[in-house]
Order: sequence, then structure tokens, then C-alpha cells
Amino acid sequence: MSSAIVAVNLSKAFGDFIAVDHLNFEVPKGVVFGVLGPNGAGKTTFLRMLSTVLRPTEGTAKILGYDIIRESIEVRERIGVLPEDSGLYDRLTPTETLLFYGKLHRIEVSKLLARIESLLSLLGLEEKRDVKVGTLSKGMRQKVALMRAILHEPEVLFLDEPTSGLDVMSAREIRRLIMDWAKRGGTVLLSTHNLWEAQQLCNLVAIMNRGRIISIGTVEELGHMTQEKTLEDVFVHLVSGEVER
Amino acid sequence: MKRARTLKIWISLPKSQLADIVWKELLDAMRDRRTMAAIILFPIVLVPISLNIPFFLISPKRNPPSLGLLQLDPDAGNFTSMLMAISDIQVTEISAGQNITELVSKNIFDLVLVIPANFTQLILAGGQGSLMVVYDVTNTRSTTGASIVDSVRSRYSDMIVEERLKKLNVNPSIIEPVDLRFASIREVSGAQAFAGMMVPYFIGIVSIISGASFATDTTAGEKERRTLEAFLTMPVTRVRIVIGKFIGVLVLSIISVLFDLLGVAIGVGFNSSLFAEVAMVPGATQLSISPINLLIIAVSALVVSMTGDAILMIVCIFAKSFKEAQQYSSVLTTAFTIPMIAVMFFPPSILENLIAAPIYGPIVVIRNAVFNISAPDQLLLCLVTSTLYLVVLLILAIRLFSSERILFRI
Repeated sequence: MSSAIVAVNLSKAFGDFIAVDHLNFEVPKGVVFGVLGPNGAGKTTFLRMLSTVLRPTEGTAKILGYDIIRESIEVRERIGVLPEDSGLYDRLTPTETLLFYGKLHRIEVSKLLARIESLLSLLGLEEKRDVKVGTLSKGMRQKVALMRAILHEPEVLFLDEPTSGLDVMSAREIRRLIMDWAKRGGTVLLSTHNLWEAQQLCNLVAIMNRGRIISIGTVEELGHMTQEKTLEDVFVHLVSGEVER
Repeated sequence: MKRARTLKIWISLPKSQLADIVWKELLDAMRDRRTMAAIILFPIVLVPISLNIPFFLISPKRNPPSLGLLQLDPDAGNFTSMLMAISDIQVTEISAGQNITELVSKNIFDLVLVIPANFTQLILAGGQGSLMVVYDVTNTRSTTGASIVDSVRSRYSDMIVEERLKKLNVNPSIIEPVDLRFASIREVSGAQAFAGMMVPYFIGIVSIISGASFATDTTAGEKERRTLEAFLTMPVTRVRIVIGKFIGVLVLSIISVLFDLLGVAIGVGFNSSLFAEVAMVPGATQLSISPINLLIIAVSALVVSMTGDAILMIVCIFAKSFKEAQQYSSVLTTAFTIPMIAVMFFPPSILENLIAAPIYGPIVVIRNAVFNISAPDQLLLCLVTSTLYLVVLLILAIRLFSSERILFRI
């Protein structure tokens, strides 16, 4: 199985503060890879580097064989990103939002319009297509942001807290969409605080603390290693052990 | 319906990321009331008002000062007739026994003229009759009225001197041995003289202010609303993003400048004779600018907008927050507009040296175009230097936008 993401000594420092410290890992294609960690562990910085928003201070990573520093445009063509904040333009409608980002991805217009229709229908937002995004509920906004991330059918998806602050129904719908995406062979890198969600969705999990990956493996492997039953217990075991050290 | 139309336009745009970025910026701005108010309402409403109201108020023809006349000398009819014949002042006779100072301080009259009982008697005796004007130095109409009274006094005085000299068989020119004649090197109407001072200022100020609101919104606003991160994950270079945003701001500025030119045309055309009066330059009251000079004014306004917008974008990219960007841009617009007022009063020798200066060069070109005295070499120098400034400013904007430390303030 070839790798979707390969990181080699990936590091990011902000002055004296090391946010991400020499990460080395591989994520195979078609996997939902969970990145877990307490607040300030470096998850968002790590995701921002992989999505080419921030430049590493040391090391690099390859997404589908493309270097995030030297081939950032090629990387961006192949990834879909849902940042921590949905980052939508309040004064545009969902249709306009998707049209804008789709055109930036150079999707042919007729194909793009059909794709927008199918996504609006898939996520139940047909009636809100011409309403300004600023008037939508948080769940609906998150759905529009997710549509933006998958609009161009990227091979790799980066999702930062995709269900944070959403009601049960919206969160469930988004989880279903992530699972469907992975089933169709897409690779997902999911950063979340929701350990139950991670246990449900992730094939592989990396636990981060203080900018480093302290453990990586399947949920079962991590449970076996720590002798804990749930992912939450595994997380507490590993992070508190790290804190004690 | 409106949204369906904007969507259709977007769909039909050429396949160009730059065009999509510009259209997104414009659509976003067009739906922001604050930005649209700055672009349309300010130039189309405030410019004509600012051009007319202050000058209407200080024009004695439109708004004559009110003069209270305390006539204590029944024989001073000649002088009062001369005074009342002037349409620039409204004369009302008042009775004796009133507190004159109070009449002025309570704004019942702008000024009061007292003609003492012995005024004519002293003059007829070959002496000097004294008049007294009570006025308020803080009231423009009052000081204007005092000047009008003084000019009537001067004419009346000249008449008396002439009569006295005639009686003595002396040629009146004996008391004015030196004459002065004016020969202007240019034929400039009163309205034109006024427009030459005011139009560059109003075009300059609108060109700078109109872009400020949207430059703040599209840079610092994007940072603050956290829409920038998703934008940066798109397969678009940062150069293209900055240029797209700049063109968006520029298009809005151009729209604003067009409304501004319309506002100036309404403001000046509304009553050009008013400006001729205020400018106090004799001659025609019509404002006439040749088509080529109108074109030069439009191009120069565009150049001011380009440079101003690029500078505003730089400071707004640099700002940590929307509020900080607003503070920077308000300081910057003030810093630009204060010297713009000074430009109106600079002598031509200084103005010539300002042609190569950013922002002010095109302002000087606009001034010359209003006077119909544009010089091709000056215009060329202004265009070349302004283009160079623009290139440097855009490179700086792109560099700042590519800096993580500036963009994310980390």
C-alpha cells in the first residue's frame, strides 16, 4: 500500500517555542488517521503545515509524493481542508462559496455546477443555496465548509475538529460523510478532541503532546500496549505518563 | 433575482483565478453597506454639499450680512443711499437708545453702523467725519459686512476729496500719483480659479478614502474572520491573491472616483457663479475644461487611487486586527489629506517639484488640468514615477502577505 502522507523530521518553531518537534510518520492511502492530543499539543500547527499554510522550520512532508514546501500548489490541488474555523464568507451564499472555490480548483463550470447540486442535495442544503452564509446555523455552516473541502474530490482530506460545537444530528451526518469518504478510498487526517468519535472513525491514531507524537498505531494496538480498554483511557494513560516524565 | 444575476456573471467569467478572486472581492464588497456608503454616498452626496454650503454661507450675494444702521445725522443721506444701493448687504435702520453691542452679540444684526449727528457737518466744514462699525470678529458675515461698509466709505471719501479738489482747481490725480494695472498671464475665469483649488483636493481625498474601507475589510478583515486560512489552502499563488485583492479594491476606488467626478460636476455646475464670487477673480463664471484635460483628470484620479490603495493594502496586511487596520488607515488618510490642503496653496515653483512625488504628483497634474495648463512632460513624469511606486508597493504587499509572521502574527 503506497503512502498518502510521509513526514520526515517535520518541525515548526515560533521563536523559541517549538510547536511541532521532529515528526516522523507515514499514513497509508485510504486510511482515517486520527491526531489526538491535549490543547496546545501542536495538532493545528501540524495540520497547517501539511496543508501548506505554514512552512516547516525543519524537515518536510510529502502528500501523495508532492513536497509541501517545493510543490505546494500541486499539494493544494490534491487536498481538501476543513480548518478549525469554517472560514466562510458571510456575505456569499453557499452556491457562490462553492462556485468560487471550485473555480479556484479549475473545475470545468458545467461539471462544477452539477457537483454543487449533488453536494447541496447530499447534505440537505438545497433550500439554503441562495441564503447568505452569515445567516446559517453553525451546523449548516460546517456542512458548507465540508462541501468546500470535498468539492474537487481530493485524495486527502484534512479535518480539524469537524464536529466541534455541532448538535447531535449535524455531527452524526458529518461523521457519516467522513466514513463514506474513507470507504471510497479517500485518506482522511482527522484532528479531534472527541475520543469517542476518533474510536468510531479512525483506522490509525497518533497521540501528540508538546509537539511530538508520543504513540502511533491502531486503537487496538494502543489499547494492547497500555492495557487500557477505551481510547479515552489510552489517551489519559499516555498523556499523563508523558506529563509525569 | 439579484443573486441569480451575480451568479450568472460569475459563471460566465473567463477561466481565470484572478478574475474569480476579483469578482469574489467585488461581490463581498457590494453586499457590505459600510463599504458601499464610502464608495457612493460620500462622493455623490457629501462632495456637492461640501463644495456649496460653506461658500454659499460666505458669499455676500447669496447670504448678505445684516447691518443695523443707527442714523443720527439726518443730512447723511448721500452716504446711506450709497450703502443701501449695495445688494451685498441688508440694511435695516435702528432707533437710538438700544445697546449696540448686544444687538451684535445676540446675533440680531451681524454688524451695526453708527453715523454720528455731526458726521456731515464736520465734512462740510472741511474736516473728517467719523463712522463707527460694531462687529464680531468671530462671525464671517460680520467681517465681510465690515469690509463692504469700508469699501462704501472709501468710495464716498474719494467722491468728497474729488469735490474738494475741484473747488480748489486741483487735478484729483495729484493725490494718487501712482497707478497700478494688472495683466494676468492666463485667462482664468472665477469659477475656474476656484475649481483649480478645490477639485484636486476633493478628487484626491475621495481617491484615498474610498479604498480604505474595503482595503481594511479584504485584508485585516479576512484575518480576523479567519477566512484567510481556507483561502490559502487553494491552489492559488499568494501573488495572485494579493493582485486579485488589489484589483478588487482598485475597481471599487475607480467606481468611487467616477461618482466623485459626478459629485464635483454637480457641486461646481450647480452654481459656478457662486465660486466666481468667492474666488474674487473677475471674468466669466463658467467652468470650461477641455476634453483632453478631463481625460487627464480621470487618469490622474486613477493613479492617485492606485498608489493610495496599494499603500493602504500594505498597512492593512501588516495590521494584527481589523481595529488596528482601521486605526492605521485613518491615520494614513489624514496624513495624506493634510498636505493635500497645502498643495492648493503652494506656489507653482514648489508644485513643479512635486510632480514626481507619490499621490501629490497626480494631484498637481489634476490642478493644472483644471486650469487647462497641462504639460505633456509633467504628465509623463508623473505616470512613470507613479508606475514605479506602484510596482514597489505591490512587491512590498506581496512580501508582507507571504510572511507567516505578518499574516498570522506569530
